[in-house]
Order: sequence, then C-alpha cells, then structure tokens
Amino acid sequence: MTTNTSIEVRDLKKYFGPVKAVDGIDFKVQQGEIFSLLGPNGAGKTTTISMISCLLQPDSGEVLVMGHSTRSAAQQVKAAIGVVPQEIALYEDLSARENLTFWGKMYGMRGGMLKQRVDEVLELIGLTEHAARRSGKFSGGMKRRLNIGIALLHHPQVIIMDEPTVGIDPQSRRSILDGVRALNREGATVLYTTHYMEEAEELSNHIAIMDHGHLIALGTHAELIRLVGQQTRIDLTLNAENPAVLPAWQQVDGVSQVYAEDGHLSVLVNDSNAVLPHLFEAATTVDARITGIDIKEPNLEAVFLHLTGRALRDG
Amino acid sequence: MKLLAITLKDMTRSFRSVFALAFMFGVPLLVTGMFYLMFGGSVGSEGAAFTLPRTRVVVADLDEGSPYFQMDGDNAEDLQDMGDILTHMLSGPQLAELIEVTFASDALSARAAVDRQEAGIALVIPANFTRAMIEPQAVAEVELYHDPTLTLSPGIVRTLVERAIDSAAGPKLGLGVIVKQMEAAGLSPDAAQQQSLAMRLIGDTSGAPAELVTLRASEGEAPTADPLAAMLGLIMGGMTVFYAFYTGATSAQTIMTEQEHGTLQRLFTTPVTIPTVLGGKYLATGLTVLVQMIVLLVCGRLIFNIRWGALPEVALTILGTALVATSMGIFLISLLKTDKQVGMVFGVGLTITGMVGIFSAFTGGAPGASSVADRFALFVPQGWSMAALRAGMDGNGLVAVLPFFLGMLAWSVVFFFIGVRRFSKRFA
Ligand SMILES: Nc1ncnc2c1ncn2[C@@H]1O[C@H](COP(=O)(O)OP(=O)(O)OP(=O)(O)O)[C@@H](O)[C@H]1O
Ligand SMILES: [Mg+2]
Repeated sequence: MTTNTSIEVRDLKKYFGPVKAVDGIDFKVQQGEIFSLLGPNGAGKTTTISMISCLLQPDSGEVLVMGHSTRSAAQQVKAAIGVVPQEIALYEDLSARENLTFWGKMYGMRGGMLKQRVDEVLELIGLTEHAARRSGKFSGGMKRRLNIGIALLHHPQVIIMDEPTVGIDPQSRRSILDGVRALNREGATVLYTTHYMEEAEELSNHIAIMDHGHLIALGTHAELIRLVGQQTRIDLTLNAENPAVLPAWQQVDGVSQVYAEDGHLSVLVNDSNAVLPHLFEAATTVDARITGIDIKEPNLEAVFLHLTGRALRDG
Repeated sequence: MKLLAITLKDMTRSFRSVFALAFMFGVPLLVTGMFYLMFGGSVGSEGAAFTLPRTRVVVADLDEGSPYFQMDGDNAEDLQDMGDILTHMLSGPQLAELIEVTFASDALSARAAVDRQEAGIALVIPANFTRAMIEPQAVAEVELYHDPTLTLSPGIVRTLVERAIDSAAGPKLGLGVIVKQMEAAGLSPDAAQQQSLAMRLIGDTSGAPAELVTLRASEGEAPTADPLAAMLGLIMGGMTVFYAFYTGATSAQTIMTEQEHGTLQRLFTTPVTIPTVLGGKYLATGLTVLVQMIVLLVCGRLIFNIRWGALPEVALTILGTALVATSMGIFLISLLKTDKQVGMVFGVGLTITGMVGIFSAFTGGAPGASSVADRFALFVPQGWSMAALRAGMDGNGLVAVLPFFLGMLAWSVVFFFIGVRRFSKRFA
C-alpha cells in the first residue's frame, strides 16, 4: 500500500447467520480526507466500522489502519484511531470532565498533559460550563457532543464516526459538522458514516454508497452524480392508485426509468421541461389524475435510486 | 495505570449509586437495628412491649446463706438469703410474662428437667452464693443450663440474674453487712463514713457480678461477654456476609450493564486489553466488598457493641470474603447472556445460597440444632465466610479461622477461573 493511505479495506466479509451484513467490500481512505460511508439502515455500515476498529473479527478479508493489520496489530490500530460509536457510550453517573479524564487514561494519557487536553476538548465541544455536571443530566445534543469529544482526546490520526448526528436538533448538528471539518483541516483523516445524503455531499472528498453489505458505488460527489447521467428525478403523486400509469409513463419519450415508492411515483428524465407535459397526457389516457409534483435535480439520492431502484431514506 | 483507572471509575460509580449504598450499608444495619430494638428494648426496660415466648425456668436454690447476712425483719416473704432474693425476683409479677419459675431440690434434677425438655433453663444457685456476695475473695458460680435450641431466653435470664445481683443485692446489702461487722468490732461509723463506704462498694461491685455468673449451654459453649451483643453479632455477621456477596455480584454486574450501554465495547476500541478491563473491575469489586465489610463491622462494634474477635482473625475473614464474593459474582454473571437475566442470579444464586450460608445467624449458633445447618452451610461459599466470622467471634484464634479462609480461597480460585474464561471467550 502507498504511504498516504490511512485505511485500506480488502474483500471484507462478515455474516451473522443468514444475514450477510458485510459481503465483500473494498475501499481505501486517503490520509487527510473525509470519507463517507452512505447507506440506509441495515446496509452494514456499523458492522464495517466495528471491524475497522477491532471490535469484530472479520469472517474474511483484511483491514489495514495506518499500515497496521487489525488482526495482528490491534493495539497499534486502536492507538491510532478515535471511534465515535453510533449509540452514545458514556458513564452517565460521571461528570463530563470525569468521563473525558477516564477515557483519556484509557488512551494512555496522564497528568498535566491529560488535564490540559481535557480542557481543550471541553472547549471544542462547547461543554466547558457544564464540565462538572453529571452527563446523565445532559440533553441529547450535549451527550452527542461529549460522545464525540471522547474520541478526540488523544489526537487520533484517524477519526471514525458512526452516524454522529442521529437524533439531534439542527443547531447541534450544524456545530458537529463544522467540528468535523475543523478536525479535518487540522490534519485528521475522517471516516464518516451516515444515511443523510446531504451530510455526505457537504463533507466528503470521497463517498462510498453501501447497500445490503455491498459497496454499490464509490467516488467523489461529481463522479457519482455522473453515474446517473445528470438525470432529474420527478416525484409525482396521484389522486388514487392506478397501476396502469407506470407502463404508460415508461412509453413517454425522454423517460429513462419509472419507480413506485410508497405513495408517490418517481420518474428519471434528462430534461424535465420537455417531458412533463407528456407525463400529464399519458396519465390522462389511463384515467389517472396527478395531484402533486416535485422536481429534483440530480443528487446522491438519485444515484441511490438509480442503482438500487429504492429511495435511500427508506432503506 | 489503566487498570487502576478502571477500578477507580467503577468504585466512584458504585459509591454514587444511592441504590447500591442502601443495599451495601443500609439494609444490614437496619435489620440488625430492628433486632436490637426488639430484643434490646425488652431486656433493658421492665415494661416490655415485645412479647417473647414464655420460658420455663427451673431453679435449684442451694444457697446456704451467711451468718453475717441478715435481712431486715419486716419482709413478708420470709427471705433468708441472696438466693431467696434472686428467686423471688425471678418469680415476681413483672417477669411473669417472660418466665415461669418452678423449683428443683438439687442441681441434677434441675438439669434433668431441661434434658427432659420440661423446662428451657435450669438455674443453679450455689451454696456459697450469699457468702460470695459478702466476702470479696470468694467466687460463686451461678449456673445457667439451657436447651440448645433456645437462643434468646438464656441471655435474658442471665441479664436478669446479673441485674438482680447488681442493683438489689450488691452495694446496698453489702453496706449493711459491713456496717454490722464494724459494729460487732466495736466501731460505729457515722452517716458520712457510711456514704463513702457505699460509694466505694458501688465502685467495687460494678464489675464483679458479671464474673459470678457463667452461662453454660448443654454442650458447654464458650462464655460470651454480653448475650444481646452476641446475638446481634450473629445476626449482623450474617447480614454482612449475605450482603457482601450481593455487592460481589452487583459490581461484577457492571460488566453486563456496560455491555448493554456500549461503554464496554467503547473500552475495547481503546488500546486496553481484556485482562486489564476484567482485572480493574475485579479489583473494584473486591475493594468495594472490603470497604463494605469494614464499615459494617466497625458500625456493629460501635453501635451494637458486638465483639468480632481479634484483628488478625477478622482481617483474614474479611479478605477471604472479599475474594470469594467477588469471584462468585464474576462466575454467576458470566453464566448470563443478557442483563435481563440478572434477577435470576440475585434471586436463586445469591438469595438461596446466602440463606443457607448464614443460617446459623438464626439458630443463634447454639450447637445441636445448628450443627446440621452448619454442615449444610459449607456447601455454599457464604457458609465458609460465616464460619470464619464465627470462629473469630468465639475467640478460638487464627488457627480456627485459617481452614475457613483457605476454603474461601479454594472457592475463589475455582469461581475466578471459570468466570474469567467464560468472559474472555465472550469478548474474544
Ligand atoms: N450482532 C449482530 N447479530 C446479528 N445480526 C447483526 C448483528 N449486527 C448487525 N446485524 C445485522 O447486520 C446487518 C447490518 O447491520 P449494521 O448495523 O451494520 O447496519 P448499519 O448500516 O449500521 O445500519 P444503521 O443505519 O441502522 O445503523 C443488519 O441486517 C443487522 O440486523
Ligand atoms: Mg449503524
């Protein structure tokens, strides 16, 4: 591997009985970049991250972090990474400062250096004023921030974040995303999982889209958009269900794909202006009435839809 | 050091939990306190609110009196000597609810009545009883022979006997005798001299009566200093052992709850090894049990005046208990798959074994009835801890405690290895 690769994943597999949680994936995360793993619920993101952070033994395949194998050099891997788990993992009966101090010690820090770093991290996650309060009494957003802060204590070369913005208010979410970028500017490599495509779009240098244990696409944002050929998605709602409308629209010139997706129908087109009137005409021929239209310019959502025939947010 | 940081963190957490503290210290102290109020109250005050089963006491009053001892002429009951006074007190109306007094002609038939279970207690007042009260050098032995299944009544009767000697007979009668002797010798002390004599006598006799009475069970139990404290000692000792094992499991339970809350997995994403985590937790649990036992035993000593025995014996018992309670906790928790099954460990694993182990606390350590229980108790680790504690209380020395300590050590080793193996497999 080249010296500027932080994480290298080779043909990684993990099955839980019949569930192929991760089914042969390969990717590389370059040093200093933000790499997003985007996928719906159950795609296998957490399972992948668990193997990278030495929590799970892969069934087969290999993970190298900063050149160290998770199999043979787990301690070196663990020392190099800071993991932000998807589920908040704190000691709720300890204060924010006590939590940070304890976890700092687990990373081998001690004394004045530890104390100074705890103060810095408290500042970074905006909890300086609440340092002495028991973390169990914190709001959801504050707990999330502390959950992240713990992973930053030892200045890890690689920060692995598993859906760090789930279930929090937009303000806290904003500050977390800004924080991730700031850490990245300071040199940290970030592996970021999410099922929010906007987050992946905003943050990442590279994005891997994951579904059912497979990587179905990997590239920069622009590269992925190009996959769907600059197509625009039109979501249409009908007054009543009408199975005949799908084949009718499929016949319309300029329509490349038609999908039914809970309650509304999606059509992928190259030029929405040219196609829209014809969609209305086709609907009329099968006695369907269009009651709602939503036009979406190409984004990762469309990429996912294009590749899987399903909407990202619904899994 | 990471291991110690884990220990410190676990201990901070458990000492911050009100629930854990209540279990650790509150409940054992409360239970002992309840017994203290129930029995201590009835012994201490004449009008007992608590009703005890009535005990038959057969008295063999062999007291021959003393030529120097004369009662004032105006007593209606024709009391001749100290033995008469004592029996009169015991059969008085105030005690009628507690004891029923019958008489035997000699010590043998009194004891035989107990052996035939016609009476619970035989009280033998020796021939030199009155003389011993008057002549400072003479020592009389009042014998209390009792049914081994009785735990409480012998203690109560004993206390009554002591009180009788103490309050009624002791200084006042003693003074009368001395004054008579002085007059016989041609001296006539004035009021001030009599008072100072009385004071000196009170001072002299305050400790003496206790030595007059020895409590003897049928099989010859070692004498105990204070029957109430001895009874409370067994109860509090039992409670201490019982709840020490709970603490051993609750702290080990943190492994399960940390897994459930994800902090255990998070620990394993940091450069810390499984043995360090388990070791830190084991140490935290052991130290917590240690703190708990020390606090409880010290409280028992200060509040209830319980004598736990010599320091080395007690220390050995505490150490052994901390080891085995912690290992047993790790073993039991390692059998579980989820946090939800914890109730089973506490219900079946700890409550039942705990009850078996500390059964002797309720039989009062009396031989016979409890010897079967004692043997059963050794099937569970709590029994070994309780036995060690009792050996220390009986004052039989380090040699008596050592086998039980070694037994606890053996239990610990077995539990520890099975428990740690199962945990390591789970997280490997
Ligand atoms: N320990 C396990 N035992 C059995 N099945 C598991 C286990 N962990 C994960 N799975 C299954 O593996 C699949 C992938 O799960 P994973 O948690 O990796 O998905 P994810 O992409 O992180 O989803 P989410 O966005 O919901 O967090 C799911 O079907 C899940 O049910
Ligand atoms: Mg996940």
